[in-house]
Amino acid sequence: MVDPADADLARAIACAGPGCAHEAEAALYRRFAPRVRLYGLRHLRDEQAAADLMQQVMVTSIEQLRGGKVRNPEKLGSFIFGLCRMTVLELRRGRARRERLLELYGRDLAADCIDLPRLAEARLAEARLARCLERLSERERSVLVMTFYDEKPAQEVAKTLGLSAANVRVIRHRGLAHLRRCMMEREAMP
Amino acid sequence: MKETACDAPIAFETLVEYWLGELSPAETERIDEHIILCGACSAKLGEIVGLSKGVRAAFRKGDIHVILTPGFLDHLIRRGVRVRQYRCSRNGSVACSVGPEDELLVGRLEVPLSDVTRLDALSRRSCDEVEHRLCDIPFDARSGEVVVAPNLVRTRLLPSHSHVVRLVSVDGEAERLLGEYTLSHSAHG
Repeated sequence: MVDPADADLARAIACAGPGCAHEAEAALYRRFAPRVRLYGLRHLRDEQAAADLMQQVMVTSIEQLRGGKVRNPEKLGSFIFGLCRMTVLELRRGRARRERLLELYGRDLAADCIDLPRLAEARLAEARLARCLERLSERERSVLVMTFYDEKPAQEVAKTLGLSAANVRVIRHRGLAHLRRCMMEREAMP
Repeated sequence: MKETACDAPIAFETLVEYWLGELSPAETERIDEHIILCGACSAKLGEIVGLSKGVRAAFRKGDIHVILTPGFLDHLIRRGVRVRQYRCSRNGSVACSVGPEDELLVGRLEVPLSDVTRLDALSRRSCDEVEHRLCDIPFDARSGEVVVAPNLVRTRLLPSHSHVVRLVSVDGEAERLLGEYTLSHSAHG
């Protein structure tokens, strides 16, 4: 499932002089950075660590492309995936130290990073989601809260509810479907 | 940015399982790579991450009411959540309030649940006199209690009132009252 445009971007960056393929580099960043961030969130479970991963992987990818070190442009996605895996391992090693620093300075750092328009937008979305959660059945709401509060698998949620994991998956699936539908309806409202 | 369609899309539910770490290492790795290669499926995963974050935020802000279990409540307390909890014995009453520092308010209603298959809660507050029926609420039969966490944001705005909750076992058409609980809420805790 190789998107040919990935290879075109890779070639455009490799063939131009260093730093001359601004548009191709920006397009590459727009395409892959969000995917790398999601990969990071899944494996590091930390917003800041995922952002660090995204920056490191994208900078390295562009440097490698500029230096002509990506041998097969058709496999650009796989190359970036390999970088993700390697970088996650490196970040995990440095994580304990970073967690200690965050404990000391986390609140101050968070205060420095506030982006008001994005914050307002996020708050509107949160309020919409809270209203949609209130419309779910009691079981669906409970299962979604107990699942997503700490990203717990069905097996663990099932234990606390005295249900089977399969039953929890069914309730979770229905709850998410209802939540998505409600969010879409509310987004469509004028 | 519009994403190119995927020729082997991963089902939404499978992505949820991936996000929650329920898949085998081999399947996780397959999806890891797919997420990097595929814009459409990574966008779907992004939606799951957003929903997860939103559910967490709504609960942390006390912006929803939710039925919990004693096990989950213990977990929250261990995590350092500031919980104000009131235990209420069967057919009993308790005086309660909420303070500005509280992150979660819960009523722990003692009730025999061993032979219950479906449980409903009928809830009425003296300040509005409207009865709400919460149908088929989740419970852990072994615990012998139901943990009710009201919407904290709304509760803070309510005047002093009494809140009566009746727990009813439902079996087909038949209903059986299991217990009645009176929570006398003082607006100035």
